[in-house]
Amino acid sequence: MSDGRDPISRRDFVKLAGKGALVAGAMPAALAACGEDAPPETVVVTETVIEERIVTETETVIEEKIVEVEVPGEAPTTTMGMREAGLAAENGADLLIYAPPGREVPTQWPGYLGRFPHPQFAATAGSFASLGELQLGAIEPDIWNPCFAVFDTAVSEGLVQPWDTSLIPNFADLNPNLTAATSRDGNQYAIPLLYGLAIPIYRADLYTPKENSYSILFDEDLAGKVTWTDSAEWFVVAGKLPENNVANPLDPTEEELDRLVEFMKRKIRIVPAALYSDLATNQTDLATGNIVASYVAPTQWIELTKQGVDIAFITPDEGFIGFSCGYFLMADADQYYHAHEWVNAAVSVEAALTISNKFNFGNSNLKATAVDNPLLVDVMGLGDPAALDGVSLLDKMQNIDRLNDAWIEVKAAAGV
Amino acid sequence: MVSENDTSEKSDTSEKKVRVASLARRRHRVTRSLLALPLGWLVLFFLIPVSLVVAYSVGILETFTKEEGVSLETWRIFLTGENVYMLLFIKSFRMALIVAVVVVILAYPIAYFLAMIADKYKYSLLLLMIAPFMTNFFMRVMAWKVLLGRQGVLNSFLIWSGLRDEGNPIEGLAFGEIPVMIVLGYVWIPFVMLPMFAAMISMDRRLLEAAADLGASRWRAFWKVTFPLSLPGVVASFFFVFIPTIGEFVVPKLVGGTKGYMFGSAIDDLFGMGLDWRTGSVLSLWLVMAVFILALLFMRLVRFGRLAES
Repeated sequence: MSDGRDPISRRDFVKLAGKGALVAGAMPAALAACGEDAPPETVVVTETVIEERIVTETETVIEEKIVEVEVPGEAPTTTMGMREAGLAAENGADLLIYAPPGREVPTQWPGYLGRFPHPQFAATAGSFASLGELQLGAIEPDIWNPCFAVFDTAVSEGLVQPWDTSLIPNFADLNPNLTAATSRDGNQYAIPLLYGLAIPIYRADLYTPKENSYSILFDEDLAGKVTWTDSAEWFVVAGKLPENNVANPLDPTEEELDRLVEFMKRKIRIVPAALYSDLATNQTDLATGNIVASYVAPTQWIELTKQGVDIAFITPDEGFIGFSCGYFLMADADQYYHAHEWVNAAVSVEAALTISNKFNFGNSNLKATAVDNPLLVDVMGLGDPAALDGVSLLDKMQNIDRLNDAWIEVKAAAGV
Repeated sequence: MVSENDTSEKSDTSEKKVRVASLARRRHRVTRSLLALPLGWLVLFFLIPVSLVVAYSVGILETFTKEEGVSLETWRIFLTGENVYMLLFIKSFRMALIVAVVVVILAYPIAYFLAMIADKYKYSLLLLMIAPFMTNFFMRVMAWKVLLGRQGVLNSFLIWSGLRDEGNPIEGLAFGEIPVMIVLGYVWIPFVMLPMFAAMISMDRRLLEAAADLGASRWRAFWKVTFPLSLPGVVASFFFVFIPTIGEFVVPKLVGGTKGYMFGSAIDDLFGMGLDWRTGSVLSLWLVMAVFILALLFMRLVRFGRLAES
C-alpha cells in the first residue's frame, strides 16, 4: 500500500541521479573559483532527495522530494550540464531501439557512434504488431520507431512519454506540420523522421481517369486491375470521397463507420488478388500491366518512372492522405539521455538526406533539401512546410482499434 | 494349538503380501513419475494458455484500457452471427474438409503401394517422396505462385497450346480458394501418407493369405481386410490435415488474396494488426472446441464401425 504518492520509476531515478550528479559535480568547481579571502557566494538550487520509506514489513516506497539548498558558486542549471550529467549516469550500451529492419545502419544516425557506445536494435514486424508486443511488455525498448497511425493509442495507453525537445538541438529544424501532428497537450510525444503522401497512380497508357480523385481506386471499370494496401487507412481513403459524406475521415462516427464498412465490403470485390504488402510484386504487376491502378507511397511511383513505365499520379481534389513515421520515447526508458542524443542524430540533416536519397521518402528536416531526386522534391514539396497544409495525416487518426476491427471484418467479408 | 508349519506359512503369506504391496507402491510411484512429465507439459503448454485465452475472451484479462470489462458480449456477437466470422468459419470448415478428404484419397494409394507392393524399395521410395519437403516451406509455396500465376507455367502452356487465347489467361489461379487448397494439399500429402503407411506395414499379412485361401478376390480381401485394418491410419491422417488446415493462415496470406481469406487469417489479424485480443480469443477457442468435438465424433464413428465389423 502506498499513501497515494507514486513510487519512483527507473527513468525518473536516472534523471534524478543526473541532477544529483550535476549538483555534486558543480560544487568543487564553485569552491575552486572562490578565493580564500572572499567568502564564497551562495546560490539556492533545488536538489532532489531520494528517500526510501518503509510502508509495511514487505513493501518500501522510494520517494522523490525536491528541496531547496544553498550551495556555493553559480547555479549549474543549464540544459547542457544536465545532459552531460545524465549521460554519465547511464550505460549507453544498453540503449535499445525497436525499429524496422535497416535502421541499425549507422548512416541513419550519423555522429552518434564514436561519442557513445553502439546501441542495440530489435526489429519490429509492423507498427500495430509492435504496439501489441509493447503493451504486453514482450520487449522493453527505450525508443520505438513505428508509423504514427498508432499515435493516439500509444499516447492514450501511457506507453510513451514526451521528449524533452531542449535536449534535441535538431528539433528546431523539423517540419512544424509534422511535429504538430505528433504533439498533444503541449507535449512532444514523437519525433518525426520521414513522411510520404499516399498517392493514387495509374498506367497512363492503359487508362484515363474520369476525375482527379481517390475514387479511381474504387472504379468498377477497373475490377481485377486495382491493388490496395492491407490497412485500416482505407476507411480514410473511402471517407474522403464526397459520395460517402464523412465529416472527419480520420475519426468517423459510429454511423459513418458503419456506412464505410458497407461501402468497403462492396468495393473490395474489385481487388483481384492479394491486398499487397509486397512492394516488389506490386511494382512488377504495374510494370507488366497486370495491375492498372494502385495506391502507393511516392517511392514506388519514382521507381516505376525510372524504369520507363508510363505511370502517372493523381493529385486528388479531396486532398492528399499522408503518413509519417518516427520515434517514440518509451514511458519506462532507462536510457533517457542517450535516447535524446540518438534521436537528435537520427533527425540530423545528414540522416534526413539518407532517408530521401536512398529510400525516396520525404524527410522531416527542412534543411535537408539537397536531395538527388528532383521528382521527390517536386511531389513532396521538400523543404516547404506549407506543402503539408491540407494533407490528412494518418497520425491524427483516432480510435484506430475500431477502424482495424472494421477493416478485418471487411477482409473477412470478401472471403465468404 | 497352531502348528509351527501353519505359523511359518502365515508369515510367508504376510511377507508375500508386504512384498506385493511394496511392489505395487513402487509401480504406482513409477507410473506417477512417468506421467508427471506429459501431464506437466499438458498443464504448462495447453491448460494454462487455454485458460489465459478464456480470460481474454470474456475480458478478465485485457490488453488495452479501452476494452469494455468482463462480459460475454463478444461471444454473443460471434455466436449469433452478428459479425462475419461465423460465416468465415463455415467457409474454412468446408475448405479444410475438402482438402483433408482429397489429400487422404490421393495419399492412400501411394501408402498402399509403398507398404504392400514396393517390397524392398519401400523405404527408398518413401525417402524420395519426402525429399522435396527438405526444402524451405516458403520456397515451395512461392513455387506454386510461379506455376499458377497469370503469366505462370500453367497459363503459358494453355496459351502456347492454343487452349486459351493470348491475353486471356485463366484468372484466379494465382490467388483465391482454389490455389489455397492446391498448395495445402501439396504440403500435406507426404505427412498424411505416413500414418497410413505405418498402419498398413504393421498389418498381419497372414490375414490376406487366409482371405485368399478362403476364396476372396483381391478386391474383396482389400475391402474386408486391408481397408478396415488401415482405418485408424486413415482417420489419423484425416485429422493430421483437417486440424491445421482449418486454422491455417500462412498459405492464405501467400496465395489466398482477398478470396482465400480464412478463419485462421482473421485470428492472425485480430491478434496482430487489429489489437483485438478479445475477439481473437473467442475465435481461437471456438476453433479449439470445434476441432475437439469433431475429433470425438470421429473416434466414436471409428469405434462404432469396428464394433459393427466384428
